[in-house]
Amino acid sequence: MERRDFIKTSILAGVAGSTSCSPFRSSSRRDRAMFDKIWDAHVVANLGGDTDLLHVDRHPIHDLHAGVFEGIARRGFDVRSPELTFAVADHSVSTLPNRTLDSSPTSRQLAGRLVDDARELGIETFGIDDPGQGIVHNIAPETGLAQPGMLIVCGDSHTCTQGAVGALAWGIGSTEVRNVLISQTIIQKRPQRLRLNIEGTLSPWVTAKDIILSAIGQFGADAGVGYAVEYTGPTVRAMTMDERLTLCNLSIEMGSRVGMVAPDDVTYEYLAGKQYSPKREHWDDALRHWRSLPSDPEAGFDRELTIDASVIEPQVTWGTSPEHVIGVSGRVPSQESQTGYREAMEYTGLTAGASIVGTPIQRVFIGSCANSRINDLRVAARVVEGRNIAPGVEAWVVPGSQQVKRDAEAEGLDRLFTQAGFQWRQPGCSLCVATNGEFVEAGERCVSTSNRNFIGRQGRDSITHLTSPAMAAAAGIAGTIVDVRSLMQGELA
Amino acid sequence: MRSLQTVSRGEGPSFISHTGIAAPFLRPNVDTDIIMPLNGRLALMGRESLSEGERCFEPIRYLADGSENPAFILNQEPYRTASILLAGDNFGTGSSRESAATGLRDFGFRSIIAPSFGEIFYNNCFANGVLPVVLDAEVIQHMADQVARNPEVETTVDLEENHIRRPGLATVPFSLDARLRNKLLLGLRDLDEILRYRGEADVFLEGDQVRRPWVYNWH
Repeated sequence: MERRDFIKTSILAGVAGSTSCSPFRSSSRRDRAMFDKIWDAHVVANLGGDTDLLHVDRHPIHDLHAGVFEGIARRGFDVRSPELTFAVADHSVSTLPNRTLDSSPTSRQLAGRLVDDARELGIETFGIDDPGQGIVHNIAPETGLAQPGMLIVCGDSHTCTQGAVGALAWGIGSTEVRNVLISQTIIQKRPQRLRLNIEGTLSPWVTAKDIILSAIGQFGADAGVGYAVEYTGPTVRAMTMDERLTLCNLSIEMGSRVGMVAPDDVTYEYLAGKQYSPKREHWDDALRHWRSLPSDPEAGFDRELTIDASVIEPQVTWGTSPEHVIGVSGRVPSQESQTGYREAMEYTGLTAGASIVGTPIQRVFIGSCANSRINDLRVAARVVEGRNIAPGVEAWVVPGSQQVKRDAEAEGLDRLFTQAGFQWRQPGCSLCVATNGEFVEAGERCVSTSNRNFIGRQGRDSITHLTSPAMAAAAGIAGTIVDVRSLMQGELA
Repeated sequence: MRSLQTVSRGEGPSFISHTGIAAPFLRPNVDTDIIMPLNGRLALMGRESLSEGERCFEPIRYLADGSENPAFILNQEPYRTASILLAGDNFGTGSSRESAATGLRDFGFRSIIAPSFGEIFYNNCFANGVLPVVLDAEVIQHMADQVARNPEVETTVDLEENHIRRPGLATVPFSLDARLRNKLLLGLRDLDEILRYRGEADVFLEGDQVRRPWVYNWH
């Protein structure tokens, strides 16, 4: 039996359905949230109060931290656990089709150096030419490096993405990156717990991206500060792993370093047979452990929020914070009471009270750790199929990983994009953070599937409107912000 | 109170008390891309030699031609020399880049006072000797009003006494997690604390390799 088939059989047969033989003894008889179960299982020592020293299971490092190995060697330290460390080239690399390390002004210094140094230390690498290369938060789940119950930290705020597989994952600063390399542990104060319950069936062309943008709009960009978020409810259960990854990705835009979804059969089938998933001889034990992770029925949360997904329409941001968001049929707000309103309106140049639909755009970016997985590309490809890009618009599709790029090409999605006039590029962070020499020109308006519409984020004086991949693709066709539902004229998603 | 002079100091950055000019900049959600952009125009113009302090707040501090934006408060006297920032809600929201904290420090800021902070930024401040203080928005607004009336009058952020004082202002107490407070008062580095638990970490790892072999045997 193939490994994947074996694993699938064991999931479906419920081989490991019992939680009675969890390898962990519960530290308390109370019902616990998933967050606390994972946290408690990683405590090396309590440092007083709510602060613990925690063991780190996976520590991916990306190329903006290229100098870190030299830094710790200079201080006389070694990497404590090279086998739990992974080096990824994503932020600095060009996304041009025939790229090399010299195609970007920064990637030889950053991506090249990181990978060279990491290799020397015996660390697994995902360099610019590696068939597994991609954005760190995409390839970690996609290769099975990120698994339920793991504690994962990475020097990047969107590490929260990886919580979608039921991991406890968050972003850290560069001093912390150094300390984790030296010790494979991290000092952390236990946050409070927030449960965001999502109910209701999504309307056609409404996606996980629209749900989380809408939640940030309703609750604010600081709603999650001090909390670890667990996303629950029937709408989340019905989501694919790609959708859950998008949902968790924007946790940090809601203020939470941690976003997570309890593992279930969707998770186990997603991980089955992946390159770094538990090997056959460990699979049943891993599965038994994973099944013990979901929050207990009476687990306490410090804050509970609920949203009705059935009333959400495709979302578009109008300002310079992700909380500056409206439904596509809405109007640009005219209340000065909105947080940061005046500065945002000055920057984005929209007219108060005007419909957001019809706003001319010059650029489209479909990519980033928020939205560049295969489901995202399939939906966007369906929108552009048989249509042509609007004159004067430059639209890029940047797959999140080489794996997704290959899968998309096998399905012919790349041709649908290029026939419509969209550029089909190589994987990387690209226009999400514009630190690889690729950027949106000053004054240009970009509809982007990334996660941040901050001032200057995609390039000095560029303007960003965050949307789902379907909405971004539609904008490329229309040349303006447009409701994808009207473009598709009732065609079902 | 325990006398600090009798305690041996760590090698990390410390903060005991600081007195300086306070600048009110109460805009909410000031993100790390505003504080320290990764793709700034000045850098693109070949001025990479600028210090982090000079690049701090670049998108709103400089105009398109590279000259100073006179409307930005830190380009105005006496705030050019400010070392305490009165800030808005969710200050430092966004990315994990530690240059947001080191850039502010390089500009001259020793303390940021805000109703709430982006949490990764908050931790990065402690690693770099910048004291983030959380206070109610109304209290900060009141302090900002006081500062605007007499900008030259210096403000003191006193971590030993856990309060902020300023002539003409009732003393404002603040609280801080005991461990973080101690860390800054004594100049302790996380790494020193971590290394004291090396033995415990090794024991944990040994046990965990038995409990969860699949985490370790991925090769």
